[in-house]
Amino acid sequence: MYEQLSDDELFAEVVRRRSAGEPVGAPLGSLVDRWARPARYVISKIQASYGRGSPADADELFQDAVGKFLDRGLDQFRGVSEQMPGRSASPKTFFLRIVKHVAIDFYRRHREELAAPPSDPDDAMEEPPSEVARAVEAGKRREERAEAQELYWSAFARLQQEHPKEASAWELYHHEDVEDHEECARRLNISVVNSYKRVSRAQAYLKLYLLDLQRESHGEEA
Amino acid sequence: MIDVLSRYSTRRTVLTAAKSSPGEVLEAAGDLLRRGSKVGTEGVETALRGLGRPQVEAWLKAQKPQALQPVLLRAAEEAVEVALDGGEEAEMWRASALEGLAARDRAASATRALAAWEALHGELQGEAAQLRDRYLSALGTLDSSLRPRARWFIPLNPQRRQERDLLEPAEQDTAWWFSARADCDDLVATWTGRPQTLPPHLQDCSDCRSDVADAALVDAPPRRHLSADDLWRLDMGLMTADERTKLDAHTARCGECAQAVLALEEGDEAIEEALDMDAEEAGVGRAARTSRAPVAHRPAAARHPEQREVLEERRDFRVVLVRERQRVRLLVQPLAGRAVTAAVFLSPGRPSLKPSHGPEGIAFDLTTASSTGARSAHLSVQAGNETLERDFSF
Ligand SMILES: [Zn+2]
Ligand SMILES: [Zn+2]
Repeated sequence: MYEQLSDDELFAEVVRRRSAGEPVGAPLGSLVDRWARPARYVISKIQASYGRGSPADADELFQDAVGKFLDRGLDQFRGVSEQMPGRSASPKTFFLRIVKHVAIDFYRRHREELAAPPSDPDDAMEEPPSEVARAVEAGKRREERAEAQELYWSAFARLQQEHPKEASAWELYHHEDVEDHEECARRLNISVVNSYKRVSRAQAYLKLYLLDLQRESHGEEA
Repeated sequence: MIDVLSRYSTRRTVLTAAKSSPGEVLEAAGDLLRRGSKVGTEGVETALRGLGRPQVEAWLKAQKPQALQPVLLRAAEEAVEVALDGGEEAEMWRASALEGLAARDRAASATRALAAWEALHGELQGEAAQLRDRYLSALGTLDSSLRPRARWFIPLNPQRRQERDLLEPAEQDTAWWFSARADCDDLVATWTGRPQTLPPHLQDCSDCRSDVADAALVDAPPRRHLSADDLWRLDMGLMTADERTKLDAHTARCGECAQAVLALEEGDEAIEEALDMDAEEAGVGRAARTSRAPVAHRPAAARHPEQREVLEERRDFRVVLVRERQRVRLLVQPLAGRAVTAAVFLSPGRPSLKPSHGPEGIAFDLTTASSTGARSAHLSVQAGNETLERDFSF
């Protein structure tokens, strides 16, 4: 029923329904179906860029991109198309950009465990069970690491709140890779001794906050 | 040591001083009872016998044990400053932090004396008994939240050990503010550095071992990598000049983020190519674009299009079988915004396949079932009052 509509008209229908609180599934489905092929092409190029990926990933990524397009893309699109006429002027191009970002994000997050040799997407088979088990195991480790890192960033947020000077020295020295007290001192307009002192105070407080947070989060699980 | 000991000995004068309040008498009595072997308990019983029931009840009513929480948290910060400050102010921090610990200890003494008072006068009854229970449980809550943070008080250990050793053995463990981590002095050096060789205590003490291990992330802090949002704003030209400078500095050192930025550019080329291909196919020659899309570069998906077969279309939902190369999926798509639940059973009595919920609806992956020889399944869908039960093959 939507075949006679152009992309723009179909897109306008999705936007209209959405703002009217009506279900958008049908027109959105037809719209993204039209874009499925270019989307898969973009995904395959990102896969090639990261030297990995399977058709199964591509499926998941496409669905993910549709979700993102619906979640925030519809609202962002208007702003972007006004700001950058030409480049992202069509909803299709905008959708493909979302596809691109979803794919890059996916392969960044799955860097370590997907060290399998790059496969030609045309030859890829279903993953054998041992591969699945390995991926599950790797996923678990990634989750634990992610949890630890999350607590680290919470500890850092607390440092920023309670000891902002120490936090900005730490941020510069470590998070922003300056790793040089003379440079830190110059940028913060403090003495080199002070830079040492702030970074070392930050280290102590971060450890104490991190340990508190870890005990708290374990306490909640128990 | 003499100092601390004599400080508690002089507490005895509070017991008999005319101006002492009931609370002061209870605290002094408890201070001596909890250190009986070292300082003696003379005068305690007489003083407690002299406290009347109304006085004790009024004291209980006025207690606010939760006020100790901020006192102890501040003491914890001050204790750490003793280690970090290193300057003249360190002793000031120490005195102030010890004052905070002493406040918690006085509450323990009052509790101890209250029990002794009840032994002499008979138990508190009714409302007073409830107040007592609430007071004790508030202290318990406070302790269980703060005891795990005892490491903050390690810089006060020389004084804490003196205090701990004055207490009756049975009191020592409860008095975590003096006793927990009281021998963990070596841990402090690890807060600001990573010692080359671990002192024996850090190898033997399980608390210290796990502290060192769990805080190791701070010694090799994660970098601030570009987030997905950073990449989006970079791509959309929404970054400030300052953000761009930081980004460039980071990607100059971080291969992972540099790769992501590169992938953004490659993705742009792919988008251009994909648009060209679609345009060619639509027969709309785009003069503006140079032909950058060789036909050989057709995306894999084009040669393996997805096949969709609508199995069922109802007012509230649609059931679609999706085949794509070796993959088979069953999609149940809600249509009227109604909540839809669905289950797929490969054989009677077995649990349903695990559904995944995506933007297209509820999806059941049949790929594995298909590869193990299954050819059909039973579908059950419920949407409001409408239900569907049917078999289907794939
Ligand atoms: Zn220890
Ligand atoms: Zn990075």
